[in-house]
Amino acid sequence: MKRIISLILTAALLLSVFVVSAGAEGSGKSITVAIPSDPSFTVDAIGDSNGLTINLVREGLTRQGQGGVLSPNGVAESYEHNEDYTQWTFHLRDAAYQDGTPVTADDFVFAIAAQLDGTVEVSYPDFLYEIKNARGVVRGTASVEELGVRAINDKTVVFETEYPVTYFPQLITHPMHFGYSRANAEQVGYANIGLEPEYFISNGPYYIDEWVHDDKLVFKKNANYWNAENIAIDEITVLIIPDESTRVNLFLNGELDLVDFDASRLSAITAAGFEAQTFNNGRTTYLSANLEHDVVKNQKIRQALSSAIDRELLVAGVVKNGSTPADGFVPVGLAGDDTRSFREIVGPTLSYSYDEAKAKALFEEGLAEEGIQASDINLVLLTSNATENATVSAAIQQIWEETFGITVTVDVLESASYRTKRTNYEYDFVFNSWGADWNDATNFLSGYEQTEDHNPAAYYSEAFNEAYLRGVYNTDVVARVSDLGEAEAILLEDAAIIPLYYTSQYYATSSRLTGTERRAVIPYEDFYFADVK
Amino acid sequence: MKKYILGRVLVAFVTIFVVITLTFILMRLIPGTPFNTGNTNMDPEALAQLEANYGLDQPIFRQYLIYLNNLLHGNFGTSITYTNRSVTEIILRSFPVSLDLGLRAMIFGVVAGLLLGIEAALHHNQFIDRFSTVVAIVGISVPSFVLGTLLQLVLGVWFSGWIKDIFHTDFQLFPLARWESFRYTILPSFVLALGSIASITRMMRSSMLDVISQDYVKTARSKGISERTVVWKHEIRNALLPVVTIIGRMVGGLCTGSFVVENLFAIPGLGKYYVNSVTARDYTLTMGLTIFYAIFIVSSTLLVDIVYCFVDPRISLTGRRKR
Amino acid sequence: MSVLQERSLPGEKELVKDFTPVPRDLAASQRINRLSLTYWQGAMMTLRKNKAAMTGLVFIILVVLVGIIGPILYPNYQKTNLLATLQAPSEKHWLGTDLLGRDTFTRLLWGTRTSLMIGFVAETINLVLGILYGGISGYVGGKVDVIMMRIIDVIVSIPQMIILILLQTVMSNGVGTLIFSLCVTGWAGLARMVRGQVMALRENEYVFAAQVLGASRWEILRRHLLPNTVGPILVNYTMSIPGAIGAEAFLSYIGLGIPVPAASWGNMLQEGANQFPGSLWLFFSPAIIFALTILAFNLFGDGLRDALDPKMRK
Repeated sequence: MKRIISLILTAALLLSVFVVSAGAEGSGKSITVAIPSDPSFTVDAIGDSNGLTINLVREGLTRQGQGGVLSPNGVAESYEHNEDYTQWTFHLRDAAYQDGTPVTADDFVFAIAAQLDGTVEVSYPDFLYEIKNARGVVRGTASVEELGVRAINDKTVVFETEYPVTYFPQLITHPMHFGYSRANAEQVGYANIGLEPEYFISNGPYYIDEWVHDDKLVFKKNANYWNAENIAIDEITVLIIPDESTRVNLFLNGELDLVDFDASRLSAITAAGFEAQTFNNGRTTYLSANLEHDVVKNQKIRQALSSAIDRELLVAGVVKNGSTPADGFVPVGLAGDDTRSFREIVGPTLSYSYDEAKAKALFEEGLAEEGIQASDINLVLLTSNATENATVSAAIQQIWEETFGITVTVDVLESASYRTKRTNYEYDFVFNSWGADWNDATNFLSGYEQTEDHNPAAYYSEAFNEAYLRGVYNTDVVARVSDLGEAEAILLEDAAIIPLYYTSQYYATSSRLTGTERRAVIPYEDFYFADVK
Repeated sequence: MKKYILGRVLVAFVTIFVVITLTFILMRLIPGTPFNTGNTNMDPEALAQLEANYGLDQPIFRQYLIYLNNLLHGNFGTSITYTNRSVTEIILRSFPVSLDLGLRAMIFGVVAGLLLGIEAALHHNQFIDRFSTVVAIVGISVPSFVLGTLLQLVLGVWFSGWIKDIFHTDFQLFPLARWESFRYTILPSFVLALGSIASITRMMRSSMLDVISQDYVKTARSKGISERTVVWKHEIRNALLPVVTIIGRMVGGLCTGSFVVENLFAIPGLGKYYVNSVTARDYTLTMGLTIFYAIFIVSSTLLVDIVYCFVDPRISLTGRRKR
Repeated sequence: MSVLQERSLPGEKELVKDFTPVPRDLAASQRINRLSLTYWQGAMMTLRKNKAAMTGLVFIILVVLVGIIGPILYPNYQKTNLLATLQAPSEKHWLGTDLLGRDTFTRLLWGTRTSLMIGFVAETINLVLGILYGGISGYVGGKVDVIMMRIIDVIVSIPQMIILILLQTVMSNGVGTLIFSLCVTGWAGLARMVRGQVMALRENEYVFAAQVLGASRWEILRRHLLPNTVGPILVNYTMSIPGAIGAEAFLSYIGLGIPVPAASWGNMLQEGANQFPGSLWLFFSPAIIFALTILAFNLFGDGLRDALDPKMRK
């Protein structure tokens, strides 16, 4: 046995000599990171796991910078808007694709129109609906020519919007607003865009050098990128590692330079001498009520249920990932005006935060109004099977049962079934988590504005609508935020939703990687300003 | 013989057709759609257009006929979640990796399982027998996600760190994830094989014990045939019979990929698509994978049945008795 | 013998002289001194002598008792305490607490009940279905066999996940649904094995003899073929109970196991593995009892197998 071990060790040593000598070639600065699944580079590629990769190889008119500031600009050198923020004009700089061909204004017109008129397949054209007539193009009631995006010349693109969009430069950092080379799309075929590196052309700081599906991608620095001299890292390898514990282990082995992790891995990370950091990922976890159901339709009971939850305890005892108790619906980290965040301007709006005495009193009032007993109540709390959701739901179940003496059933379902039940309002409360798609409060509040086809189980409030629309059409940046804050307060006073916490994410970086930017909207991780020692 | 095999192949086609039909129906019965996966509800108009793109707006029976027609032309369709990627492409790309991993696990499992099983039976109730029991228990009782996690930590992280400290090298004998060179295959193959080692060991042991007490074995011994010949020609050969069946059945399971092992070790194989495509309600991908899997299962049982009659001449392929 | 002969040599004559034949007692010579045992009595006796098997049996009985009585004594398996989450084992919490501050010991008791129920119920149903299906298929043979085996091919080819998700939406999401879904496909393996055994056995002479004597097919299957497959079937059964428990663990891993707040070994293992390598008690408490139970099932199964096979009896 000893002989075998020593043989193995000798062999290992010999091999290692070979490996070390072979591995000494690479000269430039390179880092390795991991994402959970094979990315997509189609024109409408969105979603959390694509956020990093898409922003390596594509650039919009503006881009997210450091500390929530949009700087430097992307393809746009400068931009201006009209007085009521409904027309935005962007002047393009001399940007180029990876092959040296220039990025033109028409590329933006092409890419946006293609997503609306069915040229390429899109799941959420809604993201573009602030552009004039975008909805009409999808519905076939407006032509592409009527669409509110035009190229004045090769270097100027003009957007017209349906309503004042003060945050338009923020909005268009979302990849669906990026341009794509019309010439390349026609050459490779619309359906093939982004399927393989050769069917894709980059105008971002990197280009796809190698792509082994489900395994890894190698991104190399794009020499034709306009700001290439300020990009420090020459090569980014993105491994596809589906399992979080594997990613953490790879990081501990020094094979990854950045890793996101759960509270359960915290001890492993810190024990290995790494500093665990958190960032706010622009997400609020909350419960939505079914406003049509017997008990839940009583406002006092909903308020009571909200007051019963000790959110401090929930984040400290169960979630444990640096998340903070929610005092509103719009998460911390989302922009307000140029310097302050939405939450800093508006302040807390959740009037039914933890207060057990108040909760019990409200509940008694609610019971009296409805003329029922606590023991008659059986609430269904619908949740998906993701570990955090199921665990927190179980905690809520206990809190409600113990505080009020009611029965709570947690309905845990795999995600697609969960979504179907959610869409069909088959619940009393549903466990939800909403992440910011763009950096503005409207992203969180727009869902509660009711226009056509109103579902009785969903929220409807004249007061909310009034305040929300006042905010949307208000062109004064600060007053607008206050209006939206008012709308948020109405929503929470009605307790149509019960916010729980603003989600945070743990992460750690290797000791050599510096300047990684983490933020509340995609790309959640950004190596634009990063460097390695 | 030829006629029999031809008949069985025909039956196999019918079997696969039934699998296609049933899976198609079941897939449409479970709730959920392949779209609307974000945290916001889709624009109904956009949803309708997407459904039309994939023909999901048609009546189900018509969708079924269209699907069958496409299949006849060798077209498995395009995946819904992996936009614009054909199902064939996904299978052709991932299957070789799963097959590679599966074969390694298979070889490992069969060799180790047979050896342990035979030794355990020949030394009934002695040390080796107890040892094989322990292996089988570990193999069955420890779910592969637990074993994989453990091995990754112990061999992939701790052992590598230790090597690093002693030899000052980044060389890893057991890399903890991905699929590159032989070293990378050791841990996943082992984790994948352990279940099969356990069941082959148990089956072989049990089967050997049965055979050892048979009269013909006693007769052979008393005739003075050498121990070696008795063990090899009489005991092992006859004991292999039931084991061949379960080995045959394992081929299908092992070589078409394992969700847990591929997920944990980040192996670009087919296994994760079985789970992910169902979770995402990717109808075309699920159908394609099911058909692929069914072909694998059906042909491996067919193969087992044929091998069976070579191993055991008493059984006739046609099921008619030879008297 | 030779020693005896030498010693008896001197007095040979006396011996011969003293020799009187014992009177023949026909009744006595027919008497059976050793206890007359039926097949099952014999098997039980052999089993009782097998220490390992009896240890296994005792352990299984203990675990079953724990699963029945434990939850009655410790009913509060859902009781969360957000102030005391992930506590290490202490006097108050023998096996520590989990992510929600629930007592791991209590949850383990409840998990034992759930998992044993899954294992026993699911596998017993599978056993009955598998024996009947496999027995009939193997014995009748011919076209019936081909069709029956192809039905099995179909059943094992359909992804189990689809069936499980479907059942979860049609039925409620709980233990019953899980057992049901394990049974939909679970019996196929055993059925195939029984079929193989029966096909091999039916060529034996005693089957032929029974046929000649006019026994019906059903009679032959029941009296001759199935009893002779008992060994492999039992090995399969004792191994498949832990298999079913393990299948539940896998389903927990992909998020389709027993849903919260219920406890099972499977979802406890998954939770523990999630925390690994922190909070080790969460992982090792279910892992150890799971492994020991499987060991017990195996020891008992082996003993039973040896006992039931008359050829193995000494």
